[in-house]
Amino acid sequence: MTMTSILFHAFIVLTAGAGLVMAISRNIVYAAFLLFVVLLGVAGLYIFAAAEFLAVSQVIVYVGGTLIVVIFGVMLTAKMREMRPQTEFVNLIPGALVAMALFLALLFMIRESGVLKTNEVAARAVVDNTRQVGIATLTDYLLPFELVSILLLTVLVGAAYLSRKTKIEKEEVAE
Amino acid sequence: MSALELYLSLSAFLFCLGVFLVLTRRNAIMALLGIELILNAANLNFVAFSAKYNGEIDGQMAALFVIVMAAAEVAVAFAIVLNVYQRFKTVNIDEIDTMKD
Repeated sequence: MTMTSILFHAFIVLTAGAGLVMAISRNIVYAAFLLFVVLLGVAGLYIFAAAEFLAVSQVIVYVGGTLIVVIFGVMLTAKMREMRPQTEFVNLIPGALVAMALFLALLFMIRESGVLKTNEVAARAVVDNTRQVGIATLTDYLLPFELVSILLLTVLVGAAYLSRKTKIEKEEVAE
Repeated sequence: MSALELYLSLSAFLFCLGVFLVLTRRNAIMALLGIELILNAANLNFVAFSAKYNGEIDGQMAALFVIVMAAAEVAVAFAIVLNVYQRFKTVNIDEIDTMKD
């Protein structure tokens, strides 16, 4: 086993383990931080699949942005008197059964589909990944790229409006 | 096991954990964390197949757009969750069953 192979398997185990602990954790804050570990693990796996630009985007957008929002959400909605932001399970047995059955079905389909029988995953692409992504963004994917920028602007305005509206209502009630 | 099989299996595992979180948690935030796991599982598949067909960048571009969508989704979802919390004083999904309080 080479060093790369050991690291690759370590990242797989880290991601799967953190995900599993997150799924059975009762504490929301722990779950949010374990999601952090899962996202970092997935970013590491992107690098092994020769997608460096995507790995960096994952760290900046997900870990730096999305997760901050999640932790803000936890802090703002947890009842602080209880000290520990716990959550309960509902439909535990049916939910676990559905998830297990789905997992087994997916594993079976992956083995049966025949995608594994063709050639091996390339260990490393020789071309410059970031350059390729940049060229693809401004040629084949120009329309989705522009649409996504409009989406982000709309979301920015919409999220700000949604968060602001309640304050106006409170002022109206106070008057 | 080949690398592709490991990627696909891990992706299926993360997807099922996400489904489990969405199905079994009362807290809306935990359900949203489950959705994040599901989106990441999909991304992992896109990237694994992009690596398998070496030189094809399309899988990575799809994953990139999914990351942007996820960021947008989280921003709007948490604005809604905060509004729901201020109105109902809870974010437990099974208690929020009316259009207004």
